Amino acid sequence: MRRLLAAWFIGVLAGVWQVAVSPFISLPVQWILPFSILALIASHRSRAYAIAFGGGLILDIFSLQSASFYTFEWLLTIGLLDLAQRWLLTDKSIYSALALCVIGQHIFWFFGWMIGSVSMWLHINIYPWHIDPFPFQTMLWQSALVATGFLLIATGTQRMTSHTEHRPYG
Amino acid sequence: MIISRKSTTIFVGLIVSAVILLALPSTPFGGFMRWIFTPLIQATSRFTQAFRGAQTACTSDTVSRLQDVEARLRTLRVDYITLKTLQEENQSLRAQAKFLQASGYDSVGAHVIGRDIYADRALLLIDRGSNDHLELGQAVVSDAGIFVGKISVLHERLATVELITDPQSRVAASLVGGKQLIGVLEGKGNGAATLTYIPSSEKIERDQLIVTSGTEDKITAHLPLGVINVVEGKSTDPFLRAAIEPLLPVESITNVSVLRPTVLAPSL
Repeated sequence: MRRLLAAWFIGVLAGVWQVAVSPFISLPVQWILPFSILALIASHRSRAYAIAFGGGLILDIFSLQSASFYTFEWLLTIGLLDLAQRWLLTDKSIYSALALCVIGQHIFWFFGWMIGSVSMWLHINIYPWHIDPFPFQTMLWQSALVATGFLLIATGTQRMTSHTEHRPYG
Repeated sequence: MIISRKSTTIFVGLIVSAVILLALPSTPFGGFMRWIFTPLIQATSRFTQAFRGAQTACTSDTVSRLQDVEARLRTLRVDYITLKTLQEENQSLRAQAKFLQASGYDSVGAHVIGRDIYADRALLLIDRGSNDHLELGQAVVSDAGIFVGKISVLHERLATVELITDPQSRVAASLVGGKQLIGVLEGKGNGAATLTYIPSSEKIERDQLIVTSGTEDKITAHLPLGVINVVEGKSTDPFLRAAIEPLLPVESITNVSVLRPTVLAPSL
């Protein structure tokens, strides 16, 4: 339970970054997706959901629009990434992590577009959805963060090492 | 691959909780969470803006832009001196006659703790809300008294300010020193705004200052809006248009004041 709360708080801090820091600097760095993917790969999936829930909660509470659904979008995104990680990218390698990062970002953009279009059609929001102003740089930063985090976890812990016993031939 | 029922239940429960808790308007849970996390957002935002301000340095683009602005400001010197004189006299009269109470407006300061500036929107998030007796449509001005926008979304402790460059923004405008409405200032996104529905009989030219006309509810008159940049249209057209340059770059807005009617001010 404590680790779940800690993961939720990490998500909250990631959301705080996106609300109070990211708009004021010219660095397209976002933390919710990298933290969630690292939790999916290196920890338990419940913590990935907790990070997404915490980050989405902050984005929704401090949204500048009359209605937003970031929590819903992030949970759906992490849910699909969880399925992809369990069905397709089953090996817990840095390549899987990077693939999940790219897939996850596109899934999040797709849900943002879909929910944004529906909310505009229902006159809930007046502003259309738009992709990040620097999508390629955003993807690059996300991938760099995931790769860095993965390597730090791999070198700092034994979670990513193979436990296959090595026997010399003969 | 079998998906555990527990994982599915947790996932669906979180989704449903998120929808119920956040999709409902004026949810008490949302207000409670804002009360909890607003101080953290405020502190983080102020630190970021202070750090960013210390890092800002003059680039070659900024220097050429400054030179252009300085050249245009020279032509406004006479107007500024006249306005300054009137302002000082006005301040003196206000202090003597308690003008704010007579005019019916007072101001409450607020910090900008978030923003959403893109090509299709220009919004600021401030740390004041309905608890501070703010209302939708109230005018928001900068430290120097320049009109920057109106309140468009209101929560108990937070509010969203729709800047004049936002495509949804519409502000009634007149010329400085003029008494009649001459047009509507429409935001165009990307930091631009246009004055539309200018009667062709009006004599307007570049570098003229435009101000709020005071014909809108909750927005007082004579708040500076911007400077006329380019006038478009022919004399035979029923209406003219003019590109307006805002007086304040969005990046420099860190503290604002909301003008509210004194009848809503908290009693002491």
